[in-house]
Amino acid sequence: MIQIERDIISRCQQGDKEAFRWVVQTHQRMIFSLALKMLCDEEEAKDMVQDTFIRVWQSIRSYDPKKTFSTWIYTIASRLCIDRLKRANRIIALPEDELALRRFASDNDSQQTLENKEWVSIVRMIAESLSDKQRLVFTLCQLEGQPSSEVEQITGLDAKQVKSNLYVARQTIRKRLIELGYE
Amino acid sequence: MNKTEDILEKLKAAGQPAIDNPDALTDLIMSNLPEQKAPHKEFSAKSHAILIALRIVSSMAALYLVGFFFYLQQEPVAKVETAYNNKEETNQPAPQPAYCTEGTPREILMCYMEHRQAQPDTYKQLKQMNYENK
Repeated sequence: MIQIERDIISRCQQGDKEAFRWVVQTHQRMIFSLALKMLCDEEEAKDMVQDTFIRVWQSIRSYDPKKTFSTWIYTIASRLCIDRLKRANRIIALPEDELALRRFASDNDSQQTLENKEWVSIVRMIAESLSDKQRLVFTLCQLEGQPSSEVEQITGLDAKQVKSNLYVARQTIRKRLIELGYE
Repeated sequence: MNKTEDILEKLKAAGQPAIDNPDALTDLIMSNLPEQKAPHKEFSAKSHAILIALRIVSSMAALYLVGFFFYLQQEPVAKVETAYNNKEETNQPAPQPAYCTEGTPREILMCYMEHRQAQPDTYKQLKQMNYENK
C-alpha cells in the first residue's frame, strides 16, 4: 500500500469525509464492475456500490492496514452481492442476450470494449446456471482478473475450493456454449 | 485455442464496465453517508487483570459450593459402640419401670399401691382370668 493511500485511510478512520470521497472515486468502478457482472442489472449494481461504500465507511475504523485495502473492499462487496443474489430471483437469460453473445464472439478484435448492456447480456447468457459461489469465483478470477490468493481472501475459501469452483464454473460455461453452437 | 477459451479471454481483455455518471454516483454516496460506528473498545491491562482475578475467585467459589453439596449428601455413619447396641448384644432383661425405685421401703410401698390403684381394671381382669383358668 502506498503512503498516500495509507494517509487517506487514516484520515477516513478519523471521520474525514473528503478523504473518503477519494476512496469512493478510486474504487467505485471496480465495485460497479463486480456488481454488474454478478447481479446482471445496472441499477442493482449502482445500489450495490452505494451499499458497499456505506458499509466501508461504517467499518473503516476496524480495517486492518496489514491487508490490502482493495481486497478488503472487494470482500465487503462480494458478501453484499451474495446477499442480494439470495434475495433476488434467479438470473435467466433473455432471447436478445444470445444475439449480443454472437456479436461479441464473432468479432475478431481481441481488445473489444463492451457497453454495460452487452456485459449484462453476455454474462447472463454464459453464467446462467452457475451457483452463487461459482459465479463469484468465476467473476473474480476470470472476468476481474484477480489472482487466486486474493480470491481466497475475498471469498474466504481455501485454494482447493477456489480451484474446484472455478473448474466447475468453466465446465458449465463450456457446456452452455456447446449447446449454443460454439466450439 | 477453442471457442470457449477464446470467448473467456476476450471477456477478460474487455476490461471493466464504466459507470455512466461516476460523479453523480459519488455525490449520491457521499450524501448518504451515516455516522461512523465507534471502534470496539479494547480492554486495558488493568481491567484485564481484574477480569482474570474475578474469574479465579468465581471458579474457586463454584468448586467450594460443589464440594459442599457433596458433603451434605453424605448419610451419617451409624455408631456401633452405643449403650443401645450393647444392650441388644448382651440380651439383658428389659429394665424395671422407672417408678417406685427410690426412697424408703415405705415410700416404695406407697408408690406401688398408688400405681396399682390407678390400674384397678387391669388387676381385676388378671385375677379373673387366673380364677377362670383354674
